[in-house]
Amino acid sequence: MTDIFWLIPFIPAMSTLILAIFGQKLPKKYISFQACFAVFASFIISVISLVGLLQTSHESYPLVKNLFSWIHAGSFKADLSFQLDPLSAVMALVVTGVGFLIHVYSVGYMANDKSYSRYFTYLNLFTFAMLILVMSSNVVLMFVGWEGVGLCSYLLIGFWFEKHSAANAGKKAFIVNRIGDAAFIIGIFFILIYVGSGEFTAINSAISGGAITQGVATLIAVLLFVGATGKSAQIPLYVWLPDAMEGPTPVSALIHAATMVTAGVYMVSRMNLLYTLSVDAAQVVAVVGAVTAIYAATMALTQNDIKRVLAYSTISQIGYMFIGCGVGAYAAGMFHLYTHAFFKSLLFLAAGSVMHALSGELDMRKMGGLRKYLPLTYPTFLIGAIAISGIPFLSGFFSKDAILTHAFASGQYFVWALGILGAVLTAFYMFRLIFLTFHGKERMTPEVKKHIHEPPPAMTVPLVILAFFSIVAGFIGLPVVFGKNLNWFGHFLEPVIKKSHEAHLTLGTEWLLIIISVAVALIGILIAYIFYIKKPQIPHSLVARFPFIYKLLYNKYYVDEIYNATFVNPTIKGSELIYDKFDLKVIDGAVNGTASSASFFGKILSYFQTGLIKDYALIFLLGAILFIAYLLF
Amino acid sequence: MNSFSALIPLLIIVFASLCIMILEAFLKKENKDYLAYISIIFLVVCGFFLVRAWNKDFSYFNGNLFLDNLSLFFSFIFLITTFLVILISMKYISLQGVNCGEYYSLLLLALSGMLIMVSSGDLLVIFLGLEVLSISSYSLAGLRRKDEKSSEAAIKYFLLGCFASAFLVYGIALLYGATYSTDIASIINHFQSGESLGLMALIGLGMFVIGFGFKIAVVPFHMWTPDVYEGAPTPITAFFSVGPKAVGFAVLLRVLYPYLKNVQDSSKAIFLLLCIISVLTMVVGNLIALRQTNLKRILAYSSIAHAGYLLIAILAQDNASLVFYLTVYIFMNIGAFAAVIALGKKDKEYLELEDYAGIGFKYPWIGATFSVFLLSLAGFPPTGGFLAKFYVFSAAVRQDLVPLVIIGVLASLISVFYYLRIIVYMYMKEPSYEVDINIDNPGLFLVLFLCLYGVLQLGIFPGNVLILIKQAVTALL
Repeated sequence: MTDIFWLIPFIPAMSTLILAIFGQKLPKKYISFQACFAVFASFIISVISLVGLLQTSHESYPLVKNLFSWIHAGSFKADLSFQLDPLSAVMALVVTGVGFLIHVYSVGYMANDKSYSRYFTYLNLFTFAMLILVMSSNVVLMFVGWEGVGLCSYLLIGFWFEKHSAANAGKKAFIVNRIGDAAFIIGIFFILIYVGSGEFTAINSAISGGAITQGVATLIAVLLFVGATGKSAQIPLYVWLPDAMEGPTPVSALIHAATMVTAGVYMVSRMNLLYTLSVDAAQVVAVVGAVTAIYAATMALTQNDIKRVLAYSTISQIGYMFIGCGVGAYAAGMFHLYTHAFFKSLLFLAAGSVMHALSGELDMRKMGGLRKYLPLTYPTFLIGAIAISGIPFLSGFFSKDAILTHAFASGQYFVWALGILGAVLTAFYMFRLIFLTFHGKERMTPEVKKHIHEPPPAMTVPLVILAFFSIVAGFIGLPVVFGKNLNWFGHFLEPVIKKSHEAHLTLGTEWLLIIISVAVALIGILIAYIFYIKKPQIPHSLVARFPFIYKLLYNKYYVDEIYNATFVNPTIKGSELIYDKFDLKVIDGAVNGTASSASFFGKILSYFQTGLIKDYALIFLLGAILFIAYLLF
Repeated sequence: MNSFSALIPLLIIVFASLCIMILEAFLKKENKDYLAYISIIFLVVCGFFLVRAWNKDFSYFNGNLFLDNLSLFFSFIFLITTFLVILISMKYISLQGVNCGEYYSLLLLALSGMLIMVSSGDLLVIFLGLEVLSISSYSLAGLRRKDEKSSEAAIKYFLLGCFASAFLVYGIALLYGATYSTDIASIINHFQSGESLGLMALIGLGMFVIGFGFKIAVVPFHMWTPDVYEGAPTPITAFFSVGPKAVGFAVLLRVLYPYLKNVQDSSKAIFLLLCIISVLTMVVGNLIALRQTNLKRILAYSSIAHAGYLLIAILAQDNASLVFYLTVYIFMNIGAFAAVIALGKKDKEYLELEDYAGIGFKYPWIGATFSVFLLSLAGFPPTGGFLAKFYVFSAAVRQDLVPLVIIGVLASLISVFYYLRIIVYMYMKEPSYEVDINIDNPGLFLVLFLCLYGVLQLGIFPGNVLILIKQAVTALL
């Protein structure tokens, strides 16, 4: 039963192939059906595999299916092989489950797009690549998936490539990711050098067998994490994600919120032995995560573009996941990944529904009072916002609380404090978004207002389902204050993830931490309420009072400008310089010079070709004389 | 084994030649194609006898004519050459008004000369074959009697050919004077035995090489090539560019391989001279080709340059790679000429580079196959041309001929320019005038596809042919 799990990535691959070849000629209805069905079939197989996995004893983890030998050169070997263990099962379920809902949503959202088949080809291809990433049994194949999702991300961000900004955003995402990926592949090379194999089981046994020293572990772990900062949009390589919102909204929901950007978290969890061995690397992960969490949250405060707020929120939330991984609570990080997939894709899809209603409007200053026009979108959006803010008994509460509790328990009070501060900001900017969009004065233009309508069922049904899971998904990982063995999620991951050795907090302390985090969330909501409902003049007076801070935040700390000035422009200028001075002059000059001198000699030599027999005979004779003369002397 | 069988293939071809000469008088004008079919039938029959003689080592006339595996292999590829040339000639003859009776007859006679040359170890017999080949060739070059260039080509070829033959005969005479023998094996034995043969033998050998240098068109004995190639009827040019060249190398292989292998001291001079000639040939051939705009002249210089690469194979003493190169060369060069011939109509041939603008899109099959042949000539994988060059150059590296290889590679780099330029014209230039051609030419398209198959087969799965070649060259050991 369980050994059919290799079909999970295979089915979207087949679907991609069919759509890529015949997509232009197939009717839209069939394309929608096939694309969604392929992901749904994978989802069903994921569920079956999960059930099978639960019935298998822990000793036989991970289940490996080796399809064929892919690279075999000397002692190096990499197979096309997939593995199933709790970690990859969770990821496969998230990718196919959320992915399926977003596919369905896309059917409604993209209904009038002229590149319908291209869209679903990419979306299926993405699903395939992401499943390769999470199910491969070695780092080399994982890198294939890693690059594959990067490619799909590029293709889908630039999906409307006629738009200049979309094409540029795609390029930006691709190039920034290249930087991370370069470090990532160097990390893989080091693994191959020191372990001799890319198989995760071999890596883990090399680590637990002591074959890898701490220094090497740090080197590899940091290199891999640099790759993760690119893919998962962490400091310093996060700059591409806000721009990535140029893509279609379902793409933002699937790739840039729920799945691809969390690949870094998956990778760190997959390599948890490595990060446990290297304390320094783990510390780097925790600090980068914490700083990113709060840094991105501050930028979300002032944005007016509904999707950009969500994008910064995603960066911030992934920061939380990395806090979890960095403090050794990999299960908590993965738990947040899992709940985040629901509520963040819900938020994106609901935002897409708002855009759909307002004929593509993204600016919150031109919204307001939408509550009564969108009776279905509003409650689902609200559920998402409550979940991400960390209000008790919705999914985000449990996962964020688990991370912060572990951070506190492991003695990383600074990280914890940043996390708490981030939680205030999260609650604030999410409810700022809610209030600006759904409450208050209606600021739409009259002709936009006329067309406001709820989207078709293909879009609303996924919203409702995701809202449902945003509420209940957290109940599989209850904190210890509710009872001893209720953290089913953590137990499930235990065979893969080394049990964190801390969590010796008293129940009282735990309660205290929970109360603090709930309190800060409520405070954040309250401030937002005061600022945007009660006394809407406060934000303006704050801006007037602290223009510098506002401008700094509004312009996203000028990081794009700084990167442009320090890296991008010098690179472009330098390239142009080299092109002008070296390439055109030296290289082309040398090439052209060679060509023209060859041509010149050819011309000289062809003078001898007079066409006269006497000359030919003379040259023949001269040649013969020289030939024989050489023999004589 | 002394057997009359050694004579049968040769007799068949000579008989075919005479038959066609006579039949021509009895056939009506519109039935002249039959002559081509009859020739092909004779070729097939001859081929059948050649295949049967494999590994049998037949010989006749006291060993003056023999069919060892090397002779058989060469004879067979000469049959293929003639077969392909006949196919590309059929339409050409009627379009360009060449008198066809003597055409096929002379072609087969030339073939018989080549068969004699590869089947003998006696210099005089080889010379006999050479003259049969040469005299037929002179006439073939001038067969387009209304065309001045064709007549000019015939006269030039004849005069310079005689000049070269004189060197050759004188060389043979000197060798005979020094060793009292015209048999290659015993001449080499004399050289090898260490007894002082004096300069006479060495000069004799030198003149022999010069005489054949003319046939294989190496610098500085190449001057006739472009003019003759340009003037001769195009299918005959195709024949000249592969047939006489291949047979020249076959004979040089028989003489020079044992000589360079066994005779250490005196061979150094010859060795060095051959190196110089090889370098000159590659460099001069490729450089002048850059300046040419006439397709036939480009291919003429290209064939000169290829003689240079082939000389490297002789110097590297790797017979298998030489034979393989020649085999590939036949397919790619005849293929290229076939594509050139394809661009023609009644009384008009398109031979200028300008004519090829846009051909790749107008006639996709001609463009595509021609491109493959040009890429093969330039030495791109996965074509046979690549493997052939690769084998030759790697054999040369094994023999520490690295400078020669470097020059060879650089020279073929230059050659890429003029080969690719044709492709650029075919696919990337807008035609400025209409080129319309007669595409009702099944024989020619058959040749295009056969050559395409040959080039790709030899480039991707050369295994079987290489095995045959290895068996063939054991005859030299």
